[in-house]
Amino acid sequence: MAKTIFLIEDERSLVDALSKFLRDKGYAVESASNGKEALEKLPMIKPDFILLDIVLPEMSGIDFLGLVQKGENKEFANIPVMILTNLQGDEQQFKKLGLKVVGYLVKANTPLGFIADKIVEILGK
Amino acid sequence: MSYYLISAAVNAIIAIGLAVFIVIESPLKQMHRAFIYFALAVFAWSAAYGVWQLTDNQDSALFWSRALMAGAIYTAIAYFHFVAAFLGIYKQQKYLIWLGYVVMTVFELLNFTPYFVSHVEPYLGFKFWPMPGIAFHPYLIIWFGYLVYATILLIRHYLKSGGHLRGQIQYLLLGIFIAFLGGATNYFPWYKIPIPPYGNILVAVYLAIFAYAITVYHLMNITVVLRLGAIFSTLLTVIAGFYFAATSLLSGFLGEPYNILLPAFIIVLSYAPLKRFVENLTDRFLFQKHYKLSEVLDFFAQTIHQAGPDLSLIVKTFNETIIKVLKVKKTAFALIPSAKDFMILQQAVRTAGIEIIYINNDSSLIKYFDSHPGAIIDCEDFQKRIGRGSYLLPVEKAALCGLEKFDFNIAIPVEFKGRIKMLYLVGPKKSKDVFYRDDLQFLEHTVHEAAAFIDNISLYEDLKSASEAKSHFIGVVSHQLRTPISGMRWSIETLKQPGLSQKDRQSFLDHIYDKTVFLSEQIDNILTALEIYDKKMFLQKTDLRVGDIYNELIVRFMPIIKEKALTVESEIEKTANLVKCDSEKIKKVIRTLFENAISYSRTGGKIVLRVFQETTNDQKRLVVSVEDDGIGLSKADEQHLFEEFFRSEEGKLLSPNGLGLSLFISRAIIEAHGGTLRLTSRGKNRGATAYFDLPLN
Repeated sequence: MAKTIFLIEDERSLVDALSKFLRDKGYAVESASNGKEALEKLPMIKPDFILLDIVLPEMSGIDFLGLVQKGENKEFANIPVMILTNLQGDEQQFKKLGLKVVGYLVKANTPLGFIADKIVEILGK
Repeated sequence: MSYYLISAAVNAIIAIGLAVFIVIESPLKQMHRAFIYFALAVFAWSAAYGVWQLTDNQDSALFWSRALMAGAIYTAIAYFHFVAAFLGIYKQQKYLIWLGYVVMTVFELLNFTPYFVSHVEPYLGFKFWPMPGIAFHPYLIIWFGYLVYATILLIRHYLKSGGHLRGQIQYLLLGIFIAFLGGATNYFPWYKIPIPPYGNILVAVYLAIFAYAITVYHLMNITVVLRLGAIFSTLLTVIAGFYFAATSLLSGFLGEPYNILLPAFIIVLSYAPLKRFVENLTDRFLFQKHYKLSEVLDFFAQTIHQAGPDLSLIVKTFNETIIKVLKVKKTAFALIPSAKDFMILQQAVRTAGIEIIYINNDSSLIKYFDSHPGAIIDCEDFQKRIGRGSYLLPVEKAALCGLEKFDFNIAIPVEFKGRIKMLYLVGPKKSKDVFYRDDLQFLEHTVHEAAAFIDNISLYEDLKSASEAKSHFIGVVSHQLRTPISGMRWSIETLKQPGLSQKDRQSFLDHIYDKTVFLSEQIDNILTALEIYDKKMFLQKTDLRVGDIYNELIVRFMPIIKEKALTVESEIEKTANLVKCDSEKIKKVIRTLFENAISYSRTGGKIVLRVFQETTNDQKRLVVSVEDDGIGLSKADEQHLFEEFFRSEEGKLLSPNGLGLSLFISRAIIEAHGGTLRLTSRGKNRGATAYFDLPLN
């Protein structure tokens, strides 16, 4: 069965491009446009990997990750999370907060193929 | 010199001093006039009393004892006159007063016949004590009658009255007992009752009490500037001293009336230069002990500089200095909750442990300062003007009431950057003394100094926050530029993949186009913001039909309107929407306001665009408004909305990609057109209305 990647991103064009690319690589892709929605969808999707934006409406990526990894329900705390953002230099913030991320990529500087390679590296084919 | 001579001289000096002072310092209302008559009567009595003491022959003694009675005769009726006027019952007592003056004038005429004072003879150690004639007895009864009736009137009003008036009546009652009973001791020897007139000096005591009551309790609504009082008492002492010395000296060489007229002539001639001399003298010696304005200010400036940037410490030092120097009972700050920096100031004042009073922007005090920039409110000054019989303007009257309501005497506006941020209130002095001109000057200087210092600190804070804003700007801008770029990049990457369906191809091309438009708009905004910083915005004016923009807006924002299920309505006055302006820039403003309304609306919300004409101050204006029922604004947000890079917390959540530049730019555009842009809200979650107006030619 194909592994599921949960893409949390509010920018329509990015969601479209990235999900098409990952589906072509054989993954199942689900998406949410803000932290709140993602939190609600998480138990239904039970993803194998999360791609997370930081600047999001309603609930930011950092707050979402905090709730997943440090909240009451730790069921999804061990899902690997990769940050996809256009903010520079916020990597330190995650360490300070004790949040685990497997990667921190600046969207504008990252080709789609590189993201897919990273996912493959972690999840395997 | 005997006790009687000295007490007579003192009485005469103080009585004439008071009379002159009242003439100079206050309007000649009924009350003041009556008091002057009284003081003159006391003066005439005392002066003649003094000369009578100096005489050594019977004829002269008879003349001067009749002269002293000439003054004494009028004392009771003048005092009664004064009491009636003071209590505001002059009209009811008018006939009794007139009757009194007429009767006393009859006695005055009789006074120089043996029917009033029959002769003088030695009694109780006096060489020439006057003895009563037949007319003296009814006189004395009437004299006491008026005195007793005045006392009854005073007591009656005293029991009815309260507050300030009660205090004043108390003084007048005290005065009657002290002065008249003191002065009346003179009547005992007339009837061979062996009690000497030791009470004479009490007349002076009473007059002194009276002078004090004027100073402190504004008796007769006179506010005394003490410096003036000091000058005149000095002046009068000098003049009276000279007068008595000269008359008694000259009586050896010149007969009457030349021994009186010559000194009087000299006094009239030398009055003006003497006054100037005494003024200099009092300024130099009398008030030096008070405090030296410049020294206190220097000390204050040093202390606050040592306080460093700790606002509450400065406020505290400032307040303690005022209390210590002016010896006032209490002080307070009146804060205006809507003022910018209110929280910071409130915190500082509270930490310093100073009383806080909250006032509104439309409080009578603020209104006064709005119409009197640079002024201070001094209750004494207002009361003095009331006493002079001049009417206060409604705004002044309201300010006076406003300040008295809080039981403070003085209000000084504390301005930062030319804006009144709070008021400093000063209560009465511990001594109940008035505030001198020096005090007010000192207060103004100190407030000014403290405000300037606080201004410097906040300037430093401003600089700090400006540099924070700049790095925030760079962070936001780079994020804002990268977001469309990453969309374009990934869309292009996708388009390069083989086997893409026609539909997908079109969709990614649309994404790229949208991001390109978005990117160029962002860059535009940034450049316009820089234009505004450099204050060089160029307007290219053409005719714009504002109503047409509505359709453009609907087309442009339809996808998101649909997505959020918004209802959009328009109310556009067809006749009124043509305006000459920089069409591109105005369109951009309307777009911004509309886009904001969409961004900050919740799903299912409603937006109304209105365009209408309005005439204010004969100037026709076109008004455009965009109303939504979305997240609204808090009061705190409202104040910062138009600052560059400002984003409300709520706004950030709902629409995180905003740059916080659009309103800043929009306002600059509207202002460049001679209009104003405002944003109001009934509060959080209660919607907001953005509107601007443009002058129509």
